[in-house]
Amino acid sequence: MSAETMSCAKALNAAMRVALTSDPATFLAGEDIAVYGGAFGVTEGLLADFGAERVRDTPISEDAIVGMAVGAAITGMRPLIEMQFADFVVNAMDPLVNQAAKLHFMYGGNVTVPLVLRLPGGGGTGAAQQHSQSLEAWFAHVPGLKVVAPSTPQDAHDLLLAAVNDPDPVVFVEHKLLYREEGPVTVRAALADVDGGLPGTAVRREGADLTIVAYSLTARKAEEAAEALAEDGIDATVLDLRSLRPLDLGPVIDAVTRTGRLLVAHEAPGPVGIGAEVVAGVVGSRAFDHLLSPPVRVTGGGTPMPYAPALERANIPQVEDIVAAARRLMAEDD
Amino acid sequence: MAELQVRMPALSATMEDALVLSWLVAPGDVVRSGQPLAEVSTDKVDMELESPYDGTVDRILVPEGERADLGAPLLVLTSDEEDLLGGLDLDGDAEEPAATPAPSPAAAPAPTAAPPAAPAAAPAATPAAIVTSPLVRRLARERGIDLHTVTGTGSRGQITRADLEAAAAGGSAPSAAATPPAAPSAASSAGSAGSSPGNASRRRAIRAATARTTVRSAQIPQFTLYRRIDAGRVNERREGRSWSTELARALAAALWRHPECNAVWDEAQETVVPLPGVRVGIAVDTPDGLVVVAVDDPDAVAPAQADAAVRAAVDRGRNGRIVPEDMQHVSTTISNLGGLGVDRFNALLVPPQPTILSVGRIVESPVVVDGHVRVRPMMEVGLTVDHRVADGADGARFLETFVQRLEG
Repeated sequence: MSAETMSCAKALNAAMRVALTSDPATFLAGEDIAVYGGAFGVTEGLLADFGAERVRDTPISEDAIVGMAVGAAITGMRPLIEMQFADFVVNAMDPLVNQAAKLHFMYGGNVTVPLVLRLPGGGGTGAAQQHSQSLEAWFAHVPGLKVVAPSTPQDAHDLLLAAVNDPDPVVFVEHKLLYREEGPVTVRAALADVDGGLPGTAVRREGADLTIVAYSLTARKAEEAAEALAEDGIDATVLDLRSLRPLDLGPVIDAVTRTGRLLVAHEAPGPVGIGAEVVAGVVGSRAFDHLLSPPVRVTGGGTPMPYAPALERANIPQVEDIVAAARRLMAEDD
Repeated sequence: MAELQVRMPALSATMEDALVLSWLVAPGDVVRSGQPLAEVSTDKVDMELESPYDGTVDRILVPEGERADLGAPLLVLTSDEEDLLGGLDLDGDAEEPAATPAPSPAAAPAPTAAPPAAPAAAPAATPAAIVTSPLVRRLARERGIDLHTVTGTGSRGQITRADLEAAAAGGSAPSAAATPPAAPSAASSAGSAGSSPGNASRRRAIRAATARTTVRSAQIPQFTLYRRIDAGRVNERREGRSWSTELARALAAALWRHPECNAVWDEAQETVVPLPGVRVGIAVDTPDGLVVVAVDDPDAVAPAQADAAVRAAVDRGRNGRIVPEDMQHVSTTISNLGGLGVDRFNALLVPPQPTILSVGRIVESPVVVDGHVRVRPMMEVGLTVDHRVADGADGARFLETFVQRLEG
């Protein structure tokens, strides 16, 4: 099938259609996802095509939703769950962290938990503190969970199908500002078309001067930053992690070995974050002996997300922040 | 939390005190081991005094412009580091020069100021900090370069990749001249006298040191012997090595053959005291004035290695990064004004050195060789000798050996 231009929201919607069509064990559940089509319209039209058995509106209880999904998953279903906002997942931590992540191990491998939990997160929408968080590091910290975070419509499509295919619980991190971002998407014909497991780190751009590592919306910003830097004669490699657990550091280590400089950017808060993990992985690898300057992180989250637009903007890494940090990094004489 | 005193280290064997030119830190500053704390000036040596500890500057004890005795406390740091010197009588040890002559400049810590009379009991408190990137460390490891011997010109004083490449090539860092606070190269010195306060104070200090040295020298009975040397053979053999290297190697060879010219006069004992080895000094013209650097016996190592050492030493001089080893147990000094068109001259002795070699320019000249007039590249040198140490005939024999080596 040839590629067509569509938004991330449509690409996700198309992936759900593929999943629902090709595997009768799949079903969707979440708050307002059926009749209303989801708070961000991602599940629009699916109720009409697949019916209320497989596209289920739920009570407003994340604990109940995820608890139900864990039970369904261990009895052979493949639930695809939406949290209306990523922030609400705090109410589902027990079934997710204490049950979904553990059951495969507790039952000696006799049980798998093929559950996908979609988390619309991130700031920049003026939705303030309780509707703007980037919580992915929490889940990347839990053994037994997988965490992915696509940045392009094609990756959104493919990663969702790969997550449905995966036998383990996958936390699927979506940035709300990406929903309207458009790009070419080849819609897969069936779940089996993405049978290669969760994809690893993607090389978005190759450059010799420094390596910028990011994911989700910030990966798009990193690409923009690289274009701006190219006008200054600074040639950046841009890597999009896509999977946060497991973390595919091979391409990062290769790139830093070539460039000698590392900048990691993400919207989630810096302390104990994905960036720290990437830096530690690189510094602890063979790339260490190729470092020309200390690795740098550009992250958000100095404060709970402010409502005032100017402050909200300042609390999120912007393209110009990445550009400025990269310039400082390059100004370090080697 | 310990209070650690930083004391005036022994920057040369003869130093009794030094002038604090400027403080580079202020109370409240967090400093790292190896970080420059102050610029201090002794006889001809301006050095950055480096912190032997990590810590926070608590108070400064000696204001700028004042002199401090060897071993005197200069500043107090507070630190989480264990005070490994605690309880030791540092004042009692202060007479012991910490900067003992290093067996080889290659093994000597780079311009790191010797820690305050640190006894052997405190090795952990006196690391020779190397500031550089992991990449440079790896390259140095692969090429067998001791980073202690490389001068960093980076923005934080770190050894850059260019510094390493320059060291590997046996030359000076190409970026050194462009990177403050390094002085411009001597070649560009004319009319480029620096205007920064740092340069002004350094110029003043060097001028004063030169005045003291030459006055002391003028009190020494000295004579000069001149020889014309055919420079053709050296030119054929030197393979890109500097003239200073070739002259220094020939001088070193002659000094071993003539120990009577490798000794100093002990005024108190009224006797000649032999020098422990051969070290050759090189006078370097810098924008801030004349400085002298020294290399360990350049004839004891391969020519290329000697050349690297000479170039590194000259580079130190030009960058104002004289190390204590540049002043200790130096046998003789080469002063070369040939590049400035001078035919011949007699340089003044640098006390307590017993000789100094003045080198004039090389001129294509008619010379009678085997009854035929030939045009040869001729160079005139003057060997100035301390008459208390040696006589005219001693000097002449020494000079003959030197000439034979160059012409042979």
